[in-house]
Amino acid sequence: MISASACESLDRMFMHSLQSTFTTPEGERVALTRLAQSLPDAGAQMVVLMIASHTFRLVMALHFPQADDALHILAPGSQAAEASQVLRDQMSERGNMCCGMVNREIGRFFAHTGMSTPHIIDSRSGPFMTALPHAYASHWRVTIDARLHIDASLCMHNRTPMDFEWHADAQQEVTGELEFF
Amino acid sequence: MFVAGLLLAGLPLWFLVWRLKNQLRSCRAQAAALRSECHSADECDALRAEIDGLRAAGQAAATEWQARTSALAAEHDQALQSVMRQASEVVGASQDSAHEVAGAIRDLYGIEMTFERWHADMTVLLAHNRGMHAKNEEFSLIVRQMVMVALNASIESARAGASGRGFGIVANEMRSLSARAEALSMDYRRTLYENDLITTTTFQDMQAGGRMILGAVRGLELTHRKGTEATALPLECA
Amino acid sequence: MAQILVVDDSSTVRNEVGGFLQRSGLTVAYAVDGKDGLSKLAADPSVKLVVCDVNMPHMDGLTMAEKVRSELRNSAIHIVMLTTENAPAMKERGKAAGIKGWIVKPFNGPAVLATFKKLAGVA
Repeated sequence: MISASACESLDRMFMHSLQSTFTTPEGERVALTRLAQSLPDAGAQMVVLMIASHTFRLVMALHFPQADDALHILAPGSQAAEASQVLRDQMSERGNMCCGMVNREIGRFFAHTGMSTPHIIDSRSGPFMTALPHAYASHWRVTIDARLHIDASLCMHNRTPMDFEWHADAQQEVTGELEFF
Repeated sequence: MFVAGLLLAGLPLWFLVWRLKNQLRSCRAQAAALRSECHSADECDALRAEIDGLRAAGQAAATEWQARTSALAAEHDQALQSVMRQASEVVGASQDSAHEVAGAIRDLYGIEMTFERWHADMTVLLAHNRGMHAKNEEFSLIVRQMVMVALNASIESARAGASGRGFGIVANEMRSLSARAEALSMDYRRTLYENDLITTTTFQDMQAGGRMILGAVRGLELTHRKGTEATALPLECA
Repeated sequence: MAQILVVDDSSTVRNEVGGFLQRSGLTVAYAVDGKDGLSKLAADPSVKLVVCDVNMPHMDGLTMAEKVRSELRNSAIHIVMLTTENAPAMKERGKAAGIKGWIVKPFNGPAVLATFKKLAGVA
């Protein structure tokens, strides 16, 4: 059983992390639209990551089109010869950062969590995400610009009742700065 | 004159009498004082005797108190020695346990090798999945070619007319089989994509779960280290 | 001979961090995980600063930091973690392993360049 508050909190966390991971080419905040299910483009690939605890597992997937636009926007200046590998690396790292942010925030409520490394598979595997056991799933479209959008999905499967509340403005996170020991 | 003379002659007498009276009064007072002194002297004796008695009792009490204090000090030392011994034994036992816990934690860290093995196993499984995709693609190509061949066969049998009727039946059967094979290939492809997701999420569950376990082990190790440092401090008593 | 070793399984991060440091005048070497990092450090004792991810296959960054102290017996090298993780228990373990600092991704080169140069022994 997962409470409405926990579902809304997961959505807020996911939206916050997507907007922190992606910006428009002008450096502006990206627009997010909720979808009934993710609708990746033909030929797209998805990067899958997971956060696991004793009591839950959270699957996250980001779908990237295999288009030149994706490469130009996500990895400007990269060489055409290595385009495919560069795009895969970019996908993996963006997924890692997005999932990492959710992992940090959910870690405020659950003492022990672990995060997987990113894995890339064909987006045609995407529809089967909700065929796995889950208590809550949500799907979003991240509009980078007119040429590029990225569909993102979140799927929570919990083994014990889950209830917590999270708000972005209540959290103070400092990224990029060196904390000295 | 006579009266004056009488008064003058009586004055010294009166003075003498006054002095004698004073002396008498003084003597009486002294006598009274002496009498009271004589009374206090009894008391003094009694008091003296009492004081002596009290002094003796006090000395006896002091002696007893000293004896008790010495006995208490001896008991205290003994008790303290006993507590120190027990504390040392407990510290020693906890240090022994700490060694065992340290060993258990080291063994738990060996789980990292298990996770590496799982990682390698899952990499093989994912590669195997990719191999199945490739084989299915090859099968799909063959099926598409079968469909084309069956279609061509149908066309040729129609051209052959009556003599091609038997061939046409075979061609139709081939087309039917090819269509079924194509449907099966597409279904199998979907199953492979589902398999990819299940394999990936299973692997990631193991990987993330493993990292969670290692994180908990690290927390345990830190707690254990702090405990070991605390028990390593020397026991002191003032 | 490198001043800084960048250790991350993501080539994107290696290129981003290493590229920035190289453009800033530092010499950089690279490793893809903790095991690779250890062998690169053993081979090149000139490295003064290691910038290292935590979650990597084969050997994670904290284990690598511990082994730098215990197996390579190098207590002079400065190790800074660059990771998505921020858990207090993980930072405690990092402190116990003697790491110098912690950065939560994304990497902000200009914010840390002066400190990195100092740690790398460059004025």
